[in-house]
Amino acid sequence: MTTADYEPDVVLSTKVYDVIGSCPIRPDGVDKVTGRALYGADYQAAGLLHGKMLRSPRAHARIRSIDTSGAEASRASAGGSTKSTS
Amino acid sequence: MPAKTYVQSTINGEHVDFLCEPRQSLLECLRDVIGLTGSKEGCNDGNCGACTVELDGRIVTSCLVLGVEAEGRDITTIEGIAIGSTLHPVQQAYLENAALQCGICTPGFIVASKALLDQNPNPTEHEIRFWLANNLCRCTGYDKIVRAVMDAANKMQEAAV
Repeated sequence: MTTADYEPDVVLSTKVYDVIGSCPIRPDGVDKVTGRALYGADYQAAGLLHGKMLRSPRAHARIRSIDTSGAEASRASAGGSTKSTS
Repeated sequence: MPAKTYVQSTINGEHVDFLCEPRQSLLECLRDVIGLTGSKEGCNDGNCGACTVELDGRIVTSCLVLGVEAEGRDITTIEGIAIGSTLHPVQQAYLENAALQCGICTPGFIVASKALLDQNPNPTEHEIRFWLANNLCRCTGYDKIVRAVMDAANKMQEAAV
């Protein structure tokens, strides 16, 4: 039997579906094709803080201490705190 | 803070002047200074094409153009493609052909597609694929996008007759 001759003897469903087989236009589509859609990076909250990670310039070095005074001074004006993990 | 430069340009048909640092890319100026966030930052090194805009009728990746280079130039971004509240035929074709999913690459693709049809109203599939080679899409794939551009070309030609 070739594939073309095959006819299933079980009809799974004769139901007419509303959604399956239709080609709806996505609800967010117009915003996306016009550039109006706002993604995370497009949104700027008032007073948004920016973080920066400081990494060791040497691999496998033992960290004895971290001088955070500079970071704390700049953090102070933002009212935040500085935390170092070693 | 480095001194900022005063730049006058035309963006989407309107005169826009802005201040930018000499190091800032046109993409940064559009998004962060002017507030036109439709152009997306994907790779920020000219590979992905998500930031594509038209600069004096040529498509460029705006992440590789400096903001100060916009002086006296005419820029069209994704926000300037629709004609008033009516979608451009390219935008309509992308919607109808399901040629977008997450939508990050879409602004760049649409700006590039429109520029193609402006200069070649009846491109072959090969020409479309070649033209859009600098735009990357990671979710929809390219077949639906190419079909959308062919559909838009047909509709625009029918409308022109």
